[in-house]
Amino acid sequence: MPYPVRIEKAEVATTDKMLKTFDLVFLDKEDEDAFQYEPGQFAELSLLGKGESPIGIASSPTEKGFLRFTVNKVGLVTQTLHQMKAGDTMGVRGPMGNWYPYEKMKGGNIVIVGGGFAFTTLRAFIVWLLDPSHRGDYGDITVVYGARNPGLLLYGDELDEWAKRDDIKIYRCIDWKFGPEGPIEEASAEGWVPINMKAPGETSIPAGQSTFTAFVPQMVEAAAPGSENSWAIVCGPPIMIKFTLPVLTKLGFKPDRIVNSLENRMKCGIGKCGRCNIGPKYICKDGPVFTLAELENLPKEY
Amino acid sequence: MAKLLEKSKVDEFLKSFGEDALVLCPVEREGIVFFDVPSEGESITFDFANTKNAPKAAFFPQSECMYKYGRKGDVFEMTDTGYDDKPRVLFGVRPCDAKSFDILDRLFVNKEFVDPYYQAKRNSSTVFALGCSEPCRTCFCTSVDCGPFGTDGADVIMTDLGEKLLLEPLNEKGEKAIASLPDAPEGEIKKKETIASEAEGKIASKVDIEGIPEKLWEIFDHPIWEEVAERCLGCGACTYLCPTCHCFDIQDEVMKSDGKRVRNWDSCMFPLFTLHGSGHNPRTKQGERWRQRLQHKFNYYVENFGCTACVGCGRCIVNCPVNIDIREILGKVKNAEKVAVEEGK
Amino acid sequence: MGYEETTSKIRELAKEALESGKAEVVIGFAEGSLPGRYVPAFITNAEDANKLVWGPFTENNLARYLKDFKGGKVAICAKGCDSRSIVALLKEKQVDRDSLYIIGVPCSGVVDRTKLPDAGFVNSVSVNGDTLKVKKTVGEEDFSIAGILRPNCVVCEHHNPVISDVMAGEPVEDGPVDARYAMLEESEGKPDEERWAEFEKNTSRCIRCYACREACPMCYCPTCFVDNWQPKWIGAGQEQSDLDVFQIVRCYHLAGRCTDCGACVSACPMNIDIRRLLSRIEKSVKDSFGHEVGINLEEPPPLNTFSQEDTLEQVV
Repeated sequence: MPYPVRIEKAEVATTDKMLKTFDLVFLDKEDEDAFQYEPGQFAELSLLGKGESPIGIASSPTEKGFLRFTVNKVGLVTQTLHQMKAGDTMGVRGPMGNWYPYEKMKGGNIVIVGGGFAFTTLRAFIVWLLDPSHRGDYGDITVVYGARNPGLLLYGDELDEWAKRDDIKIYRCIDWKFGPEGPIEEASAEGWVPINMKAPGETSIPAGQSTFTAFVPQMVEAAAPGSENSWAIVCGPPIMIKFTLPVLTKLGFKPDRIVNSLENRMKCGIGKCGRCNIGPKYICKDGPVFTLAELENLPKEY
Repeated sequence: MAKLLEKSKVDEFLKSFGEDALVLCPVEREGIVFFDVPSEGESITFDFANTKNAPKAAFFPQSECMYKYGRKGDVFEMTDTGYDDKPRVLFGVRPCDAKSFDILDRLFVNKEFVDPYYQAKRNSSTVFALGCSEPCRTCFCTSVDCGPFGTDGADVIMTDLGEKLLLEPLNEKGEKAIASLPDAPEGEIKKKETIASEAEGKIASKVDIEGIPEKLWEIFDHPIWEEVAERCLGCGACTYLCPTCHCFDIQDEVMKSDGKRVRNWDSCMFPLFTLHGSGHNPRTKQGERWRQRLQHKFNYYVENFGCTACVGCGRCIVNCPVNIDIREILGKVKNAEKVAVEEGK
Repeated sequence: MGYEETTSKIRELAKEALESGKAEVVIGFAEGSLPGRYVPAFITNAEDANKLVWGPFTENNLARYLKDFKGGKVAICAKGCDSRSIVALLKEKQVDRDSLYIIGVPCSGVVDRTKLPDAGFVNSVSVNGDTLKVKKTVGEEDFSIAGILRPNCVVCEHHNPVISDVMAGEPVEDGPVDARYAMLEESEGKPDEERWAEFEKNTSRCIRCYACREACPMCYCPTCFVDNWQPKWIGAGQEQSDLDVFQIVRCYHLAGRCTDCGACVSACPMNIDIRRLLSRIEKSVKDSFGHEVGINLEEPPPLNTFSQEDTLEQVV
């Protein structure tokens, strides 16, 4: 049965109003203590009378006292959720799934690539990594996060804060005024600088700049994070993943070092109802985090 | 110690399990034999090949309330409706169906997660399997690690000796369940042995599933799947009548300010089964859905749980409106040529 | 014309249709894996035309598959009821007449599978003139084909296709007019509670497998009302009220469109008699609008059109 929670904050997260961030607080301290989770896991948000939705947890376990979810308005449950406001109660069932393999990544550099609203669990991971108790275990952290326009990037305030830090490199990019050949318009969005689109390898990034106009794969290529002793986590729409993977491969990342978080239609969340499987693996229980190497062994049914 | 039970005394024996016990057995209703709780005036029948429905519903009902909730002002209250652990006696389950319990146990009750709804019912049940002295032409149980007198998943195995039943316990639970019955004389036990060995030989339908899991990996992208499913209607008859199919959906049912969360059977044959909220559906074609069914039963389940999720009961073959025959398909799969996966797909 | 002759004629016509380009695929029947069963077959090569067969086992309504072949040229073997389904589909603009090549097959009825011995104990079923010879695992049994037809075939009025491009046999005698509604007399005059109890008893066996819906050519909605979740019309479980509403609404959606082909009853694994409610509704449509399904291609569907002459009684 789901744990009862109260909505503490409900804010629209993007300018197209399709995404809303909710901070949820447990009604029972016992439940909060029982809900031990890791970055990368998801939970089923339960609206009694409507149904449940599996949503990635956007807060990190290092942030106590609340759970953050950013929800896209897609169907019956999420639509109803969007209409709810602070003070309303609902349920949370979880945590479920596996998490980003931070144990394995210890001592390495981490490249995080996100697109659109897939950034939710990536935020969880970034906050977790930046926590003083964890930061020292890892090398360089590079984050590339892109969306169509500035209004669609999530957690803008936090990204601004992170961009000021020197223990993490943030590259944000937007592509709405950018075509395959270069900037479409002379002036891109204010503060957003186009990448120099010379031949690959010669693209240069002005120092201190963190906002650009580019497609995510190009941004990754320009940022050129080293692949030696590094891990890459890629979360985003299929088309972004499709074009980013070759860039990562070119930079030297091997499939067992590239991590994805998948989505499929889910119901039970514990590997019983049979809905979310890819081959013999259930995305809810054996995933949603998989390395590219694991995915290559599974049928392409997603 | 094997026991004997006169058929005329079966009702009495079943009543001996107590008022609280739920007894399920084969009953005839308007020409069809179902496995269900007998209603007023109904009694057990032994005149059947196999029941129309599979006994899995005893542990995994088609529709099951998981918990209830109601609204009090602005706050929701959830009510734990608990887990039904009423003792059940399943009397007259064919060995293939009994084996299906063993197969389902591996999914519903395992080290990772336990399904408490299933487990409560399963643990408090006693399964009396009834061996098949006259197997059907559509049964292929011997090809999937079962047999007309198989004992997997059961607590007692019974043999129909005409006017009497021979009951052999298979475990402690079974022994206790039949302790009150008279011992069976040696002669009857010998009769059973003859019947059982002859029954094995009467299974006419054989399917070779050696190497099928590996083969299924090899032909994942083969065009055979469209061919296999070309006449498939996309209904759920095969999955709902199948003893091992277990996919389900969770729905909320609301009446004014009260509601409950219900688990209902679902079928991977339905187009909407894997439909994402975004509108994307990884399995748009019936061939892809059929592939999922076969892969799940004969490949993924083997990999995850160590056994084939098919008991060879033949219900899907007999009840399919367009006579899709899983035996034929397995034969086609076995003979299909390996397909190279396209690069960069 | 015997079944053998019909079979040869169909094979000949199918081969011709594929070779001449009249059709890219021929939808017909082929032998099933179980004795006495035919299965829908989709022939795309002229050499495979010999897989097609005809006999008293053609229980599926092949018009159901037309929606899967939109855009291509399709030949279809249609018996009387199937052809009326095709007319109904044409009226609803679900099929394009020019893309169809209808091989009409006069029909003397389909055998009711439930009247034959259990499939598990049958070795073979063969047609011998008017008789069905069933060889069981133990013994044999003969049936008069005319005596074990499906209930809808017994009362079928239109044995001959009402629309076709070519015929695969000589027309046979039609059946009695409006006999399909005779079954309703049984419940005439009975009190409502009794009739409702009968109805619920019938539908209580429903396992929501939707075989009936999938077998029906007129159920072509991309999202059926049972699958809709915004709003959610009925529950998907086994509540008797949900089972009742599913049957009732499906039958109502078929009002004025059901040709009594019996495919739903044949498909139902629980042998539910779906025709009772359907017949009542069809009779109501016939009485109100004088319309019979799938006969007149020019006549618009009665529940889709409103004419000045429609009275309140008719519409309500």
